[in-house]
Amino acid sequence: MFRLTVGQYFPVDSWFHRLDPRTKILSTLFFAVLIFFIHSFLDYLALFILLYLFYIIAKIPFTYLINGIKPILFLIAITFIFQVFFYGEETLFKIWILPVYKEGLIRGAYLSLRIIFLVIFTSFLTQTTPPLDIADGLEALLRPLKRVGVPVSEIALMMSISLRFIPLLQSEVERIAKAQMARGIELNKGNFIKRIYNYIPILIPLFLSSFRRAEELAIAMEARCFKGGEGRTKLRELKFRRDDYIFIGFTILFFVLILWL
Amino acid sequence: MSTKNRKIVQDISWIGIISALYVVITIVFAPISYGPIQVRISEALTLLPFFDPRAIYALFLGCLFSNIFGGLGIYDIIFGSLLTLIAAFLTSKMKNIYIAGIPPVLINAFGVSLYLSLLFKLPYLLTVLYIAIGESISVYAIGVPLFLYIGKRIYKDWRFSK
Repeated sequence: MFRLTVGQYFPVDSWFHRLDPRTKILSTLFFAVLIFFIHSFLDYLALFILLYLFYIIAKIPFTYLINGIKPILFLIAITFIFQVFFYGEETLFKIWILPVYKEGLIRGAYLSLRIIFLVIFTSFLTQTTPPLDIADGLEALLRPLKRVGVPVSEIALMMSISLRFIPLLQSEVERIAKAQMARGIELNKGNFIKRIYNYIPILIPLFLSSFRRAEELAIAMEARCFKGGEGRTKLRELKFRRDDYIFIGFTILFFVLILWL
Repeated sequence: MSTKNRKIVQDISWIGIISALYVVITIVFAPISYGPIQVRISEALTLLPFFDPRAIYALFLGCLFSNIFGGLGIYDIIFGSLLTLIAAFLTSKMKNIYIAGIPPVLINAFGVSLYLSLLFKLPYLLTVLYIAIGESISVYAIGVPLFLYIGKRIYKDWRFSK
């Protein structure tokens, strides 16, 4: 029941997987901005073909991207319905029902595609980059902020601790849930509100054990003479390679092309 | 070992683990955690900065990671996390636990709706209402009772008003 994977990382070796996380984060940002400048379905088609190629190069089955869309199907449906409904009402007085419906439909499809592409580009990043690499990349991108007093190395350590403890706390949830079920709570019974309250007996032990773990970890770190993030070295240094420049260059080129056409 | 260093170590591990807690609670309740009608049970944790200002950073990180792993993509990652940061900061300044829940409810309702309506042209006020309802449920129906119950077990000098 609680068998959930964190992130969607797809562990294969490919050109995209080998890229520097910074490259991938930056180009994801580029594409996210680009989506705003798309004003025709033809552009979406170009974007779709591009993504399809990305998935082939990344050796990730194309069906895998549906995983990213599933949780937001509801939002897509709502967006679509609202467009068809609201956009129609605006011109309802001038023209009769058919053209109104059509307008909303096109706009609805258009905005739904926008959501889908936004999510797919982000999940492409998380599918080709392990969480820890994303954290490394974020740290490297934040590093210039160190000058204005942001404790970047401490933040980096917090991010690694967080990512390390997510699976641990997840298995903790599983253990607690089983223990409470053995004591007779029924998780999936009752209406919506009742269901939420069913989880309270899981939340309380989870909270307390997390607080305890934080204390234990602090003691363990101190015992190993950890002192701040200053002067720490890394096992893997991030380095821009030729392929990174190629991909960034390509992203910018694609951006300019879409803006022009 | 200096006491200053001890404080830093404790803070780093606490923030790291509490942000992991936020992420885990979000994923476990995933089906109802994302989207405009969201009852993120993990938002019950938004009351935490009221008791402990370190939680401001924990919530920010937790929200950042949950939005990276799921959610609506890059805009949700950037703006959602920043709004959480602002709300958490305001919560830490509130005077008692009952009004401590107001910043996350209001800021998320009005802020998240803002970018949702700009991005996806959803009707603004309706989205505000939906998010406000979801947030109020997780903050007031779950968060407040939860903290009233476990507060004293975590900190000895736990108080519900400042």
